Amino acid sequence: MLRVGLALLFGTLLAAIAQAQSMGEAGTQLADLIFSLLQRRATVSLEFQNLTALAPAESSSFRAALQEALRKMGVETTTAGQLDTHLRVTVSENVRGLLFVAVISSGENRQTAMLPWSVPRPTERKPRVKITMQRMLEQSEPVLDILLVDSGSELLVLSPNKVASYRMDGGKWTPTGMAGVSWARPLPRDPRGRLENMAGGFRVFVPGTSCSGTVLPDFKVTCAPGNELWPLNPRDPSTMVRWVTDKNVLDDSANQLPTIENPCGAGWMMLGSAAGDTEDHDQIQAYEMVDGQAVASSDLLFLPGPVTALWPAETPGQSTLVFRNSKTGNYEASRLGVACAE
Amino acid sequence: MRLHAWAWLALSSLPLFPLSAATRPRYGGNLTVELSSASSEAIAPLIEETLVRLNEKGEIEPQLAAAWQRDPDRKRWRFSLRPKVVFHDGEPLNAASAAPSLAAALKKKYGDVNVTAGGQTIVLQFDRAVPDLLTELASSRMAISRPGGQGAPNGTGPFRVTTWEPGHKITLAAFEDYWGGRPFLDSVTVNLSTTRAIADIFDIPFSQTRRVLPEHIRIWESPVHELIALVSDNVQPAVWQALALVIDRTPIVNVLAQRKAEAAFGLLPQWLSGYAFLFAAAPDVARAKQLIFETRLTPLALSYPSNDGFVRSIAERVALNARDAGIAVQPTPNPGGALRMVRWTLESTDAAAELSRIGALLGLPERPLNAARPQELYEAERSMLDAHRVIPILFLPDVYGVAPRVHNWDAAQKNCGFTLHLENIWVDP
Repeated sequence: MLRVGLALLFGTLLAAIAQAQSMGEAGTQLADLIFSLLQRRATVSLEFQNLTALAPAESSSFRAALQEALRKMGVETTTAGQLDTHLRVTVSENVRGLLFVAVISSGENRQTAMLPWSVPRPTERKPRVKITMQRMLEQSEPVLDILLVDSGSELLVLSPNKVASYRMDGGKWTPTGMAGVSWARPLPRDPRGRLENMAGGFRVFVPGTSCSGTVLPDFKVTCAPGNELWPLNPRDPSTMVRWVTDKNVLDDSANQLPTIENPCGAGWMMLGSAAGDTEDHDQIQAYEMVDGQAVASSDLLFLPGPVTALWPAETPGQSTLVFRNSKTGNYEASRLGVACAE
Repeated sequence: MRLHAWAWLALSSLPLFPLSAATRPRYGGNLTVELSSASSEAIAPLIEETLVRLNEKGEIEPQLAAAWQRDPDRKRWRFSLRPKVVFHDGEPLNAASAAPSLAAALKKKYGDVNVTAGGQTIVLQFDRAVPDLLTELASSRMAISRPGGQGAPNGTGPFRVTTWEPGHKITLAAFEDYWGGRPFLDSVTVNLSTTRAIADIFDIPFSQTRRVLPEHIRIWESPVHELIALVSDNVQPAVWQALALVIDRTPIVNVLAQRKAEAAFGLLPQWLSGYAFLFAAAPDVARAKQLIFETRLTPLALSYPSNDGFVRSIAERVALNARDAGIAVQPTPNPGGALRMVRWTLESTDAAAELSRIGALLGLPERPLNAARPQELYEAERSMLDAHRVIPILFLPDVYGVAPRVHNWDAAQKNCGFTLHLENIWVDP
C-alpha cells in the first residue's frame, strides 16, 4: 500500500467535517434498520442517550440525520412519552468502535437493531500554517527512515527487515526494488535506524549493525556487525553519534542537535514531538532558541498517532517524520518543512 | 510504544522546555512484583509465546507465526513461523522445535488434530472444521515451549527464567536475543502467594482492598474481566426468574467491592460487547413474589468456594435478597448445592470467543458467532440468559498497586489480554 500526497496539513476543520458526515451517514443507516423493524409509517416517542465520549457536535449530527431520515420514511419522532411505540437510541461503544443501538418498544414487544461504526477520533485541530507536511508513503510495516536519492527521483525506505526503493512514476511512488537485510543482532524493542547518502550508494545504521548499499547497477545491501559513528544531521557532519548496542540510545555526544534550517532568520529551528491529550496521539511544534531558552514558534501540528521517528532529512529545510496512525495501524512517513508566516 | 528520541535529544538540554514531552524509556533495573496467587499464570506470556495473539480490539495478530492460510473448509491450516526466533536455551524456533508442545496442547482440545512439521512450516489438519482456531491458538494454553531445566518453562518470550520456585518465587532476566527487541528491564523478581505490598507492582485482591497501602502508590485497575455469577441446572424456572429479579447488585458493588466493580446483568461486560446496558434491570421483589406465588418452595443450598471470602460475602447477600421474596437460600462452603457461585475470567478481547466459552461452561449448544456482528452476539447472549442457567452478578477488574518508579505501565497493559505485560515498562534507578 503506497500513497502519495502533495502537501497535506492536518486540521480539524476538515476532520470535523469528515466526522460530521460520518455521523450523518450512521444516522441514516440506523434509520434504515429501524424502519425495517417498524415496517410502517408511524409516530414514535424518541429517547436518546450517549454512553460514550462522542463530542456533542457529532452526537447532534447523528441525531439530526437519524430523525431526518426517519421523517423521510414517514416515521415522525417526538419527545412526548405517551405514545404506543417508543424508540430508544443509544450511542454506545465496544472494543471495536462505536455501536449505535435502537430499541423499539411497543407494549410487551421489544425489538433491537444495532449498527457498529468506526470513525476517526476527534482530536485534531487546525494549526496556523507554519509547519508544512508532505506525505510520502504509508505502509503497515514500521518505517525507520526514508531517503531521497538521485535528485529526488528515487525514494529509499528503511523497514525493520528490508530496504525498499521506489521511483516517482506518473506522480506516484512505484516500487522498483527490495533488498532484505540481515541484522547482526535482533533489533531493539522500539526499532530505529537511519539511511544516509554516500558516494555511489547509501549507508544504513541500526543499533549493532552497519550496512552499505547500492541502487545501481544492482539494488543490494551488505551488512556487518558494528557500531560505527554516523552523522546525525547529514548537513552537519561534525555531529557524529553511535547507537549503544541492543538499546535505542545514542551515545552522549548527541546533545543540542539542530533539526531544520530556520527560514525566517539565522540558525536552526528544532522540531519537538510531545504526547498529545491521549495516549495514542502526538503533536509536533517548532522551537527557536531565544536568550538560551526554547521558545515555541509555531502552532501545534496534531498527529493521529505516536511519533516513531523524527530525523533531519538529506534535503535542506526538511525533516523526516514517521508516525503510527492509531486508526489504521499503518506507519506514515512524511517530510516536514517550516515556512515563514505571512 | 511512545518514543520521541529525536525530540528528546534535541530538547533535553534546554532549560524550561515548555512542552511536557513524553519521557524517554530507560534501559536497566530490576522490577519487583508481588502476586497474592500461587499461580504464575499472569506472567506466563513474558516467558512463552503463542503463534498468534489478540490485540485490544479482539483482532488476531501475528506473533510466532508470521503468516498463515487455511483451506475453504477450515480443516487445514498452514502456519509459517517467524524467522530468526530463538528459544531461551538458544535453540532456533522452527517447525521441528515448535511442533511437540503445540501438538500436545492442541490434542487436549482437538483429539482429531494431525500436526505436520517441516522447515519453518507447521500444518494442522483436522477432521472437522475449526473456524475459531486462531482465537484458540492465541490462548496461553497453546504457548510454544521446549523442555527446560528444573521444570522451568523454556520459551521465546522477552524474559527468560533464572529462578523457578513454583508457588513461591520466580526471577526473570531480559532475553537479549528476543526477536521483538530486548525488554527495557534487566530483570524481574516475582514473589508469589504474598500480600505484603512492598514491591514495585502488587495485586490487591478484593478481600483486601481496605488495607493500608504505602504512600505514593498508584492504584491501577484493568477493565473488568472477571464475572461472578450464580449458576444452576436444576432449579424451577419460576424460582430462577424470581431469584434473578430480587438480587440487588448496588450494595454488592458499593459496599462489598468498594465501587471498584460493575454490576453484571449480562455475560459480557459493557466495554467488550457495547450492548450490556440493554440487560440492566432494577430489583423487583413484588414481581418475584408474583412469579412464585403458587410454587412449592424448598430450601436451596448455595455453594461457594471455601477459600473465597469475597464470594462468600456475595453469596450471603444473595441469600438475604432471596429471603425478601420468600425463597430460602442457604450459603455453604460444601460443594453440590442446587445453586453455585462461580468466578469466570475472560481470557481474550474477542467477544464471540468469550461468549462461546461461557456457553460451553454452561453446557449450552455451540453456535457460530462473529464478534463483528454485535446484533448476533446480543441475540445469542439473550438466549443464554433465557436458558435459566446463569444469573450474572458482578464484574471485577484486576487491581494493582504501582510504585512511582514504574513508567509506561498503563500503555504497556493496554494492548493485549489480561496478563502482566512488563516488556515495555521501565523503571527509575
